[in-house]
Amino acid sequence: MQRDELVEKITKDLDGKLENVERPSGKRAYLYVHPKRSLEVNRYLYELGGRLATATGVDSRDYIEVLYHYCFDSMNIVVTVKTRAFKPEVEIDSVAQVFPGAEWIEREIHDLLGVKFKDHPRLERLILSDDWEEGVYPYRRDYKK
Amino acid sequence: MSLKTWAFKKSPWVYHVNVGACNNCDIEILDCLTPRFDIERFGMLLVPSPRHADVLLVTGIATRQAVPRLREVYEQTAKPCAVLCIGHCACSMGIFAPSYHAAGPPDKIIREIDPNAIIAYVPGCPPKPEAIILGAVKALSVV
Amino acid sequence: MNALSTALIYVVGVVGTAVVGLLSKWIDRKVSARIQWRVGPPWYQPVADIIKLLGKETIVPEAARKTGFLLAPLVGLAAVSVAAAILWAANIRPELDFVGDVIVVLYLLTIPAIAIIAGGAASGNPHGVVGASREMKTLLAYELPFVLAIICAIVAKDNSFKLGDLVTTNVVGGWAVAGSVIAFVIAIFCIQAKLGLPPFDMAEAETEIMGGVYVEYSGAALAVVQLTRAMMLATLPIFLVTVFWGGFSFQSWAILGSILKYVVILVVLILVKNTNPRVRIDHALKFFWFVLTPVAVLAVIMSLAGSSL
Repeated sequence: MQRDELVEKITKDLDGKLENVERPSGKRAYLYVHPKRSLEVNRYLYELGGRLATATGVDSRDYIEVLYHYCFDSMNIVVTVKTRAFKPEVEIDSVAQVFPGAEWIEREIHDLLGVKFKDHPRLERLILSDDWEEGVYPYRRDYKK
Repeated sequence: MSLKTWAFKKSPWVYHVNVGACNNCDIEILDCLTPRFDIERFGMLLVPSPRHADVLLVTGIATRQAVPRLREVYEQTAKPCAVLCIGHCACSMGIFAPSYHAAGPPDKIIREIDPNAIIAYVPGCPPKPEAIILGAVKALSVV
Repeated sequence: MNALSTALIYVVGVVGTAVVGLLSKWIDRKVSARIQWRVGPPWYQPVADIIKLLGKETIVPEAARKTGFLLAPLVGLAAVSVAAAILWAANIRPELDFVGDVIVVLYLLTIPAIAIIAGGAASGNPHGVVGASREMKTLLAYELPFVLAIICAIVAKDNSFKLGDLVTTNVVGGWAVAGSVIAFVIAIFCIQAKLGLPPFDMAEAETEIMGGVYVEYSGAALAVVQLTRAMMLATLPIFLVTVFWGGFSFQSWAILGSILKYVVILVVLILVKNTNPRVRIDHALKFFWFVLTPVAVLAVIMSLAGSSL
């Protein structure tokens, strides 16, 4: 399957669940997804053959944007799922049930940005020190040392 | 020079502690042990336990998680001992000073528990093995 | 022989072993360095190590059993000193031996390993306990073929249990010579393990278990441990030369020949040490029990056949 066919297939199959689809270049595709739909879209992409490379988090003003990057290695394309975790609760479904490798990635995002992942098997401190204060998230824009 | 000082200078056993380094300095320390630079001719041996060590090679800014561990390792080392801070990060935290996890350069932490600690600094990012050897020789010459 | 000169010979034995041991340790480090295309340490390095260790503080961890922890290295040092004294006495004056001194020396040479097991287990550190258990298994592994090899030499030399007789008797008979040579080779393998040299240094594995049995020793206790190991490095090849190779003779030019015998064994140990990686403990057990022991039994049978024909 070629890249454009893949993106068309995704757009068709997930019709109604995506808010927007962007192709900034031949090798990247962004799928904007509402947080309620994020688990379904992730599960679909994983079953389609995508490999979850990593997940990233960005602190925007009213929400924290969580991005899941899926690599389709044979086609040389990275499909990114962009969801938002709205402040102040900052909650989103965890992808770890679908993809066990996402467990630690989501723990790291929780440590540094404070995103609460629902139904995560083990949401504990991962990379901050043991004596770090609760509720202080260093990667948020309003963090002061 | 007394016999004790002579023996200390001629046979400094090193133990390597990494308290939050990017591993560049660690690789350069490993280079020192290879046949090209050969620190065994100075009597330096890499020992597996801090109790056997005379010189602690400290690399990295001390992250908050590593601070209690660094204190323990320093206390476990049999005195008299010297500390060699290797790399910009160990000397002064370098560009990572404003980071959220930086808890003071290692020499500040060691001086809190032992104000008379012998500490030498080898700046560089990473310092060349020749610079590390020079730092070690200078540190031993003031013991 | 009056008592004073006997005592003098024993003292010379102990001090001589310490000197030869530290010198051998230097030879070991220098030859290893040259094999690795490095310049090695200077000749006084092992002495400087011991003096430096004596000048540092001895820390006893809180979780350790203080008495056992500190006494164990001393027991090891005492055992190897007595064994060295007996060996040197038998070589300098072969009439100073007594019946069964081979067995006494064999027992004494196992005590440093047992002492280290006790010391490692008493150190209160999991690394020490793991190292102690590994040393126990290594001890079980190499003692069997070692004893069989010594038995082979005793059998080949007219069933005498005195070191002096072992030194002065020559082996006759083709089968017995072959058996003795095989036993000699097996004994060299065994002392490689006894000395804790690679490939059999599982008990003190620097990269795996942080020094194993020696992890909590520091200062004077560590100096005693290092001295014991150096003396073992001197005593075991001397034991082998005494039992298998006709001992040391101290008449004019024969001294050079004796030193050459010792150096040959030392160099074999160093070369094997530098060319082999560490083996796993179960591989070591299988090697000693299922490869070396049958060969040792074969050597004993050959010696029996050769000496009775």
